[in-house]
Amino acid sequence: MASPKVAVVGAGVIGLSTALCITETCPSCSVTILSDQFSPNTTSDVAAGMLIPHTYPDTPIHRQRQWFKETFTYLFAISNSAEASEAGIHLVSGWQVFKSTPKEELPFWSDIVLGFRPMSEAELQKFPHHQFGQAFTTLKCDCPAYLLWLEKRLKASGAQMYTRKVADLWELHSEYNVVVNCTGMGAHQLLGDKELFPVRGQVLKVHAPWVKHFIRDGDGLTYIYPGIHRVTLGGTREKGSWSRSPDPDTTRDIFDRCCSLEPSLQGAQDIEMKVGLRPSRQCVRVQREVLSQGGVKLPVVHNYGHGAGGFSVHRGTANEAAHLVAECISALQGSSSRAKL
Amino acid sequence: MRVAVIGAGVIGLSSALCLHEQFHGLVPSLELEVYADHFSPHTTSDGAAGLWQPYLSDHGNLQETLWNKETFDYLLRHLHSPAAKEMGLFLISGYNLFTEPVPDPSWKNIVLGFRNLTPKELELFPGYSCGWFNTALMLECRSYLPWLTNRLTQRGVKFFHKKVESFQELFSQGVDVVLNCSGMRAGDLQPDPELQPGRGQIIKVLAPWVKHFIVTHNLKSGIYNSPYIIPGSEFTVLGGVYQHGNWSEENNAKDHKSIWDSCCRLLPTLQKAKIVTEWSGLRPARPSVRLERESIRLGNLQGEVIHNYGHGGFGITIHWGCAMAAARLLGSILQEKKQLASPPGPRL
Repeated sequence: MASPKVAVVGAGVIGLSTALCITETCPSCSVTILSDQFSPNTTSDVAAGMLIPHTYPDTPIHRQRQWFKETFTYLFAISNSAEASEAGIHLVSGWQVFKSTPKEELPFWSDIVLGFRPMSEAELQKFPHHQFGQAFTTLKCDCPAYLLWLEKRLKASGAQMYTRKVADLWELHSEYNVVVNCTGMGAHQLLGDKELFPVRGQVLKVHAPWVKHFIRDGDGLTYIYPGIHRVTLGGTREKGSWSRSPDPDTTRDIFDRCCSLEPSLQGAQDIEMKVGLRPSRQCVRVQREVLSQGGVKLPVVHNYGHGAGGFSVHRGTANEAAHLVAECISALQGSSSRAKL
Repeated sequence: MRVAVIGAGVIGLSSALCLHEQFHGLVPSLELEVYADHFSPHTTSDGAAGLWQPYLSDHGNLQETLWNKETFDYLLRHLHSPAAKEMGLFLISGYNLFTEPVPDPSWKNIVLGFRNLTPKELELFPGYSCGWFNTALMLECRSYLPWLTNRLTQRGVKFFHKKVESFQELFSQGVDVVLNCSGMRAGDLQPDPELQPGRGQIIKVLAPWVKHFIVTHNLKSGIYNSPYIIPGSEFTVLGGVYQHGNWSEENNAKDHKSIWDSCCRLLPTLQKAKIVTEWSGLRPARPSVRLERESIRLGNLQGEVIHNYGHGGFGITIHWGCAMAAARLLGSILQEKKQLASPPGPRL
């Protein structure tokens, strides 16, 4: 197979980063990205893109740690280069605060982020409703800059991108040798995966350029994440809600909760409401599968179900998915050479 | 009781507010006036990035360290007030970088979360072998000075846009006490060979992805003669020039290149930053701050002067502590003039 044809379905952070990894691990592959939406209309565009991992209940911790470490290392190098501002990657310091001391004081990622330590008494005085906190420095991927930067790198490597709604992965079998499923929430309809469910998140994007630190309540519900031009205020975690329309009462509630953590936000301007459906699963599905119909086989690599933690692990899962694609191609080349005998 | 403040930079305006807050209720006849030839945005204070950070060492000048602490604590108390945004006050964290180990600074317990940098953090700054991380404050004078002016105007303080030529000029008009906050030009009012310019130059850029201050130190070249990057609420300030004895307020091309090249080496992503403007100013440098009373007598004219100048590159850092000290000096003057009741003594 001279030039294996790989289709990546989905153009959010998972689809684009997976496609990029495939061009890196398999330079002879021809990669095409197919998606009904591209930036700025993907779920990723709504996310703040903070590198603070979400814990998946059914994925082994060492695997999550590996994914996060690879992602952090990759982005750390970009943040330190001249491309950082174009890629939308920057360092940000801040605090995760808890109303009561958490059972686990050292999360699995504490040695991967920078300068992780408990907050001092003096620092905690800024948060009168909270008793315990952690200070650290991490990275933020500012969307849509990051997605546009990924698209630019992909085009430079020869990858093609088309707006196309794929209703069934099988429809791609005649044009492509391997299909990579990075459809996020779309996998619900595409595959009928009952383990995939939306967790609705509403956020506000505001103009408050004096806010230089992130603040996150340990319960994960209230957070303030300063980006390049806007600060993301969040949020909600509505399991099973499919509504993509912003709710004004929710906006008021998010704003109040964030102002309670950071009173200066009262002066924030240009408040924009956004909604994203986190494609949630008990474990991220990074897995090979072979679809077959009437003797014809189509290798598929799945990479979806990242829920609240997409940005934090994207590069790690993209690497893993790219290796699975390489395995699929080897298997195809193996069977085609066997066919010649 | 007429008190005239000379100077409308951070020292003059904050001292004026402090005096008014302390004595307005106690001295009904108090009339406060501010005289200056330059007002915001044309003062030296306006050129400063606004980072609260003293020099590395206080050289045993404990008084200045206490004034720095007083200022930090005062500002921290205002952080959550509704006025903070209007004052240009916000928290900021960042890095101080060194090529050799240095002792901890006098201010390590004043700022928040002071610690040494980890090896991984130092990977961000090749060429620097150690450093500190801490959370401090920004006080942007382009907001703070107008805020102070508004508070003063609300309190009925009068402003005069003129260059005062001598203390006598004010005494002859009936002023009782002069608060001399004339910064770099104090020498015009009374010669002071200890007051020398510490010329600085800065480049203001648009780089909103920079969220931390980065201040490098070169112990041989001295303070602020090494690149620094300080992100404000709108612009990021690039600097690293301190030229003792240089009175030029013109932007210098060689300094520009040195600042730009060294800051881009420090933070490669700055190469994509858009330059907005450039500025030069004179830090009013002195071996120590001049904060003391002086009685001036010329012929039949007499008056009290409280000097409050010579804050070098740490005016914003120390301003409130000095304002309070100046207020205490005014208090003793007022007591002597029997404008203020002495503290009640024991009954005999």
